Amino acid sequence: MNAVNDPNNDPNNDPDNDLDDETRAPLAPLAALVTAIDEADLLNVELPLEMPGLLEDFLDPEVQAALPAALRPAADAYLRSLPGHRAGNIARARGQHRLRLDVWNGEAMPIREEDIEELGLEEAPEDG
Amino acid sequence: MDDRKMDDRPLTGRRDPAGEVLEAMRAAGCEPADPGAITFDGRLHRYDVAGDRKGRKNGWFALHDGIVPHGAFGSWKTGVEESWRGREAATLTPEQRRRERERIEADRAERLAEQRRRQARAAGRAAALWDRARPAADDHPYLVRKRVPAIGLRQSGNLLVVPVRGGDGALRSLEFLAPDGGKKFMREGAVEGGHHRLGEFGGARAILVCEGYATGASLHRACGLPVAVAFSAGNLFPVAGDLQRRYPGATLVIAGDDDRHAEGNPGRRHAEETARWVNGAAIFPDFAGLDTASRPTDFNDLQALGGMGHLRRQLEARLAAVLPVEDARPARPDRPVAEMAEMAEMAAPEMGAPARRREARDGDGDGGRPDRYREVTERIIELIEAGTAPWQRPWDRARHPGAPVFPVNAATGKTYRGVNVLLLGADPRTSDDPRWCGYEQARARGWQVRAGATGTTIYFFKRPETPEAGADDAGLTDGDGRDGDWRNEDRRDEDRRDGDGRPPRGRAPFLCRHTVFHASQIEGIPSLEEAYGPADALPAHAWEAEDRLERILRRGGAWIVHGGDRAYYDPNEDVIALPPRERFPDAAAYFGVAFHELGHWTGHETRLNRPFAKRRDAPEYAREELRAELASAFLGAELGVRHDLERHATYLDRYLGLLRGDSREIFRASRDAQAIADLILDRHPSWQLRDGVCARRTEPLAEISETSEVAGETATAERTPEAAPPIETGERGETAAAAPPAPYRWALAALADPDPGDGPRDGLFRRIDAAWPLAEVARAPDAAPDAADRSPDRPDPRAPVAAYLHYPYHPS
Repeated sequence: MNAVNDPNNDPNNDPDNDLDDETRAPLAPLAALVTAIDEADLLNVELPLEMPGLLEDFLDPEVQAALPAALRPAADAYLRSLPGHRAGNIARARGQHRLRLDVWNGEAMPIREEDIEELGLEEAPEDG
Repeated sequence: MDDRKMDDRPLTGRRDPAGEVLEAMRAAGCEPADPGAITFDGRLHRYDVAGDRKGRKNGWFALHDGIVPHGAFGSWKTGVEESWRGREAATLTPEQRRRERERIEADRAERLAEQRRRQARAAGRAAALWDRARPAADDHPYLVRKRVPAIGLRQSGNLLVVPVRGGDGALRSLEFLAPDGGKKFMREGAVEGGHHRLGEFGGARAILVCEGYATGASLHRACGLPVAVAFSAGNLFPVAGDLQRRYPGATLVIAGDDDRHAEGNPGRRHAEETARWVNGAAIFPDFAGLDTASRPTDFNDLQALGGMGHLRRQLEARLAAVLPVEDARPARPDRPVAEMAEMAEMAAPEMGAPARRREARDGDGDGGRPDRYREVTERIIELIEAGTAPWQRPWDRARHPGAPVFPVNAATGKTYRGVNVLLLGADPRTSDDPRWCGYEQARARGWQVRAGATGTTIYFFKRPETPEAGADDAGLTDGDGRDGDWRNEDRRDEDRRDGDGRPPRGRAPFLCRHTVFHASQIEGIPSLEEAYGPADALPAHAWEAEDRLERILRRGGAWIVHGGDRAYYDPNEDVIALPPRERFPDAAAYFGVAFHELGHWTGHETRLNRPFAKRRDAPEYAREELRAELASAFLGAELGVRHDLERHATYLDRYLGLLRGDSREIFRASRDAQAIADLILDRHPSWQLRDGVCARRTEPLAEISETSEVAGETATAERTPEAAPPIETGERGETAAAAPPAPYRWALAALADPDPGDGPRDGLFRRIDAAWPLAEVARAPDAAPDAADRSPDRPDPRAPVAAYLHYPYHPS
């Protein structure tokens, strides 16, 4: 059993994982994609694309073109889950993909709705 | 005899090559524990070095057989790397030597190529593992034992994972830390020059370089400076050399291990050699007075034995000794005792425990996820301690008069807000050009961020959004696997908030880092002149002229009383008291103080409604001061008003105590300071903030009578009804009409708001004295030291209750 298929490593199932619902929700589509990548066993075959940057640059056409056929359905499903992608709003899709990666990587910190006003936080521009 | 025969002939005197290489390894301090491990097959092998713990495999070699056996060996632990060749070279003919050199070169090239291929594959495996690993928790046994938090680490199973990144940020390999302290690198991964960064390196004036993660975490927590973890003594120089090229303005401090129990003390030797090569400095822990039975060597050991306070003090002394004066934490030996006690009281709860662990206990963090509030606060504290916070440096640099002073997004023209103003304003480049831009924004406009440019981190919040209609099922469930209410939605979350304005579950905002680049780092960006017009064709933006400063001071509608020797704002009376202007050395000094008090004035309940403290030792007092400080910096930049750095420095420790006690405070303070500046700048006659953009005012301000009071030494206090502020409701004129005459209001306020230290009658006397110092002198000439001898940080027992007394004016 690989790491992602292991229920203990699934962010949705891991009882030790302290991510709350607010954090888990945006991760669900990405977790499905990572699971598919893991199942495709891309790590142990020579690919035209190196794993570093695969998720980072997942929306890039070159990466999409290089994906193996086995991964295509999962990749398409993930792209459809990205707001803005179908409408051709790439900046919006990139922004949401970036946010999911930040949550996945533990870089993004969930905050309270009240914090925005109380702390004078700025909203990210859509075009990065 | 043909060449081939000659070249392949057996060489006389050839001895045991394995014995020779073992001898060389022994001389280099990396003799294998098992001599039988030596093999001449041209491949890279790892081995246990004699004396190391079994299984560490710090040694390596790659040896070739041939006419002249040759190869290389080394130790990742000590950093030794040596080429080796057999001794028969002297017996070869010139042609044999030439061919042997070519062969060695070819072997070396092949070995390097193979090494790169292996490292590339290792980098791939590292990225995959890193992607799958989850953020590390602070309660990992290794971290608990080392008493450090997880900073930028992940966890895979029970192993901590430390990223090994190149100077360009690319992930090269991983280091795994086991709960029992065991360390391993990813097989075949590239480590040389790779490091793990703790803290922000952009704009840093000093960077620490150390060997291990725990040492780095201790150092970073103790001093707040950015730290590069180089993983081994031998890697100190490659890492420091790379950092020197990338951050030429930073002083490199090698925080070495003192391996005094090891032969040759490799930790000290490598650290000192590295410091010499990069023109930096080397520091080492001093364990004097501590129990050294455990043979401590590094700064983490020092923390373990002496505590964080001990480490912090020792580190402060070490850094002060090796850093240039402006980089070292400013020593303030003349700090008043009362202030020291106050500072200690405020900061005491912060000592002794890493911030994230403390938050986990307090329920203000989860101990595993990043705390961006803390991160920002630490950056600001670093700036304050380095003396580079925006309000700590003069704003007297020449600048384009048409460009905004506040940092502005080059792509949208919008000024940054809140804490981002501080973070970007702290960069001196903002004074020259306020424009910043994200990478994608630049690219979308045909601009290009220069190769190798280091971005600056700011912070935005983002919200997860819903996909458009037609999205299929894959992955579109909520965190519990249920179909969420966000399937087949075509609306933004703003349209689906609940009655309290909250977004749907799972759509809560996240605070994220965002990297922006300064205009000087972006190729193709229009020049300042192209963006804001020719500099010489624009009218003066800053208000150099005194009369214009005078006008904005009065346009605000503040009630200003001149008299006495103190400057303060009294929120009870809603009055600003200033010494007569002729007692200031120049107009700039006068306006600097006046605008600072005007900042306090905006906090009145009829304006921005900030809480004012009843006592100067109350936290609210320091909070209000911090806001006025920040606003003074913003206003000073915009209006060309001098900001008195020396006086403001006396408050720094109070601010530090505030920030360390509440990681959100700097955010609130920035927000409030911006509001203060906005309110005052809204009275600018020729510029105004429009949708966050500083733009030329299109309609003139309504003229207000500028016949405000002017009082002499006897401090008469009169005001003109025309000066009523047209900014907020609850205008001064209306309030004045409903309130009792001024003397009675003074009395009522004093009775209602007595100083706990004395009775209401004393408060009343003080209030009168404050406005009429001659009466004070006549009544009790010996009751208190002369104001000129009083430190601004020592409470004046006769100070008006709840008045904001900042700058006792010292006649020169």
